[in-house]
Amino acid sequence: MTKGNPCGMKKISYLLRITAFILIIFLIIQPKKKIYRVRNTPTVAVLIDYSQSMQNIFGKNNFSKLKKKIISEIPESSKINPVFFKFSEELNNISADEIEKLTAKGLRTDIIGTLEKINKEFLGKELDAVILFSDGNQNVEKSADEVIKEFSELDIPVIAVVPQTALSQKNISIKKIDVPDVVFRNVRVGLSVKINTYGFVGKKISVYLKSENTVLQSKSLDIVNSGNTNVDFDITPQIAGQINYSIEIPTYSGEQNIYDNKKKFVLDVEPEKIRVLYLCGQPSFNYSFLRNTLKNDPNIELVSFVILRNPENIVPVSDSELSLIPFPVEDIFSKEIFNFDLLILDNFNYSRFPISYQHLTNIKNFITVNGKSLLIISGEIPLSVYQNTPVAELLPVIPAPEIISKKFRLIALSGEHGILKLAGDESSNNYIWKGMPELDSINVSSIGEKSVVLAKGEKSNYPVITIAEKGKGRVMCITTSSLWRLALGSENPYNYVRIIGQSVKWLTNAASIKQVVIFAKKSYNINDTASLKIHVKDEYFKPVSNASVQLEVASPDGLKEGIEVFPEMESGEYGASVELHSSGEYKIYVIAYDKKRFLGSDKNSFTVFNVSRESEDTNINEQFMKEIADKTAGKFFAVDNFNVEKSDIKPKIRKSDVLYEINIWDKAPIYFILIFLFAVEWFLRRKSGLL
Amino acid sequence: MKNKKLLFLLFTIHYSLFTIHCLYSQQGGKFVFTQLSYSGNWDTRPTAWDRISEFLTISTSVKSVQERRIVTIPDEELFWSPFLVITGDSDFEKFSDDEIKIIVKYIQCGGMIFIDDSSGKKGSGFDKSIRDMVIKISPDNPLERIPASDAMLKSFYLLQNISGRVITNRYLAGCKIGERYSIIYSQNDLLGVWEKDNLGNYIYPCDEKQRWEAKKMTINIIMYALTGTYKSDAIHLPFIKSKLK
Repeated sequence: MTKGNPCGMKKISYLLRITAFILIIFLIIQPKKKIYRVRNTPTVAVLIDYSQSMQNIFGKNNFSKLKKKIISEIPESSKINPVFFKFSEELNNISADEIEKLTAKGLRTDIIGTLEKINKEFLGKELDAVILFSDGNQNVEKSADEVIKEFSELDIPVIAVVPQTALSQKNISIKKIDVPDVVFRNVRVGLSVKINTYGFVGKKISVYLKSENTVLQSKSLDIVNSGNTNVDFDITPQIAGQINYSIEIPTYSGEQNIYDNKKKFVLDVEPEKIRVLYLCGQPSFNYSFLRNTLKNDPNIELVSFVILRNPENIVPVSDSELSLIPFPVEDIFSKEIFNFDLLILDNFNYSRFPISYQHLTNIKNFITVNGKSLLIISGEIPLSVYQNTPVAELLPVIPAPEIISKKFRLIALSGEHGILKLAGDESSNNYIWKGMPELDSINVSSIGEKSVVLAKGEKSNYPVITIAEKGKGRVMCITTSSLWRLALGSENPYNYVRIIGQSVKWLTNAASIKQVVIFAKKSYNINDTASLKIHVKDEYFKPVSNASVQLEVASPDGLKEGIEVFPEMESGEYGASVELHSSGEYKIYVIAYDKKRFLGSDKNSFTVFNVSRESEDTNINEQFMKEIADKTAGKFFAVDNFNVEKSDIKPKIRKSDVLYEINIWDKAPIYFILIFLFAVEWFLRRKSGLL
Repeated sequence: MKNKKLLFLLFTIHYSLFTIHCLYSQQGGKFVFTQLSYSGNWDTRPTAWDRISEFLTISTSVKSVQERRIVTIPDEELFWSPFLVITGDSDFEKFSDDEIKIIVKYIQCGGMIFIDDSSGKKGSGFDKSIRDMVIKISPDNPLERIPASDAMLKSFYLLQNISGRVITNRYLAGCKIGERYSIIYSQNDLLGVWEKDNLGNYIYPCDEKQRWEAKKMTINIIMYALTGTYKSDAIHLPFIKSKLK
């Protein structure tokens, strides 16, 4: 038998086998062909911004022109299938006929919220594009990134149409000032100011940061392009509390609106950890209890010195066997003192140490000039040792050398004062104070000028807890060394902890050590919604879950209303919302209980300006509209240039558009080919003698 | 006769009240050594405080009330006494639930208890009774060894060893509540080293160096009660480190 080229035959045979193998794989995976429904006209959501700013920019006639443009361009177009919506805060369907009657009266502009709602509205339905007619002045605080990303992923382009190119208006405005939520004293904080300019390209403008009309910093800004520019400032607040600031830009010639060149803001400056310097003349139970309480407070950084040995004490060991350290008088009273917020002198006789008149003057300056605070406690050492020294001028009492060594009950004269308040209501507070244990020994004194006696000794009537404001600072005087009895002798030792905590808070004017704190922005515009946050902690500043939180809001007309507090958001954090329909000052009060235990109360206030968000910003935010268009693969137009053709909107092919599927693997020819391949391969092998 | 008895009784009551009044009215900011009287042999070291008081006054700035205060658990005076000493050498009747509640409250409100086993024996009856009591008082914070680095061992003297009349344990035990030990337990008869007879001789023989170390430990415990963890503050650490070198 004649044989052909066996090598060539072998190759052909392999080729046929591979082809057959591929065909088998093809059959196994069972391919299908999808046949889609063909749509000629895309479905488009047409969103018309009818917020007030749309009218403020152009005037009524121009808003009418915009509507006419929409009516003439869209409903008549055979290129798209439009579904019309109007939006400001809310999104509503409208018919093409209603567009003409539409008036720009919406109170807010929520483009992001509207896109979110549109996405939900068309869930499971056809939506090929969105045409958005707006000035881009989003004034409801929302993050745009997520929503825009979602449109991009769904492949829905947003055609952004602004009513007019922004260049037609000449203006400089302060759009936004970003400040951190929590600001601490002596800690640098960065402010970011967003400034919007039109018509000032090539100019140089000045931006000022002011506090109470004093210029703190100024920056010069070169305007390269119209639109938004950021300017950053760094400030380091020196004092705790509420500080008013403003960002101001001078008015430049030709500006359309001069009122948006200034924006005020308030920083609620918290003290960083309260730094306490505690000097005690001798080890005592009073020192032990007070130190332990201060040490357990996470808001306090304590440095203490207690005199363990006096010069007359004899210790029969060398100094190296003692843990004593030198008392650094010069360092403390000349330099270090000024790094603290509160100085505590407890049973401390300055005359036993090389403390000079200048050192005592430094203590006085520390309070009166530097605005710091002093807690002075007497005991065996009466406060009269400070007579004729600068410290005497700080004392809220006029001390005498006598000590009455008798037990006495403490009478709270100002139980409602922040220092002595131990319960939410007056009667409960009085009840707690009546049940307080007896104390022992009182240093005789009488009340000083401009001082307030918070608590006195029963029968003797001598002041026991007295406070006064001295210059810029605050002073508190306790004329007994047995205040620790409020812990050990009391049914509730937390009362002592609370009194000490509240004393430190009052002395240092610190909000951060409140157990219950309510946070709110300092200013809102009318019709805004205020989001309030409430933090609730226990006596040891641990967050309290499931607290009972009562919130009351007094509107500018004096009407008080209880507000529902949302359940806990995070550990110890609660929230509430208040709708602001009146302008003026709102006051907010909060009280929190853990079961029936009073945890604390707080109050705050904010101002609502009678300026609608819509009239606050009268410029077109072209940048924002372009960003939406760019990120969703849409297009950006000024209304005059807009037409549907240019928008290039095409219907999309969707999974839901599949009409039917063809099972390719299920066709007979495929199997014939397979059999044919095997047959040829068999034949060739046989012919070549390979079988 | 009846009137005389009544008069005597009234005089006794008045005198007792007057004495108590004087005693407590002197407290002021002073340290008070308060000892617990209970059903067992509680007063094993009756003169220790007299010696300690003398030494404390001479060597430190602590001002103390000279007389020791003796209280029972239900006494109101317990809550005038932030430092309570319990001594004994044999087992004692268990405290009632109410008494345990009072001690728990005392600890929670800031009181400190120093327990000294005068028997100086491991596993003594007193030790067993005390450990039963402590478990009830502080179930969450049981007795543990107080580390040598604790502020208690440097609150006045820098100590590296734990001493006593006898060295039953080379450590002190304690229950730590918050940042300090609220219960301190010695099995070394610390107070025994202070006891003297009327002629001024030590009652219990002991190596003198050991005695001196035990005395220093006693002073440190009192200082610890009055200053807490003061000597653990950062400001002291470099000084103490250099001294320990």
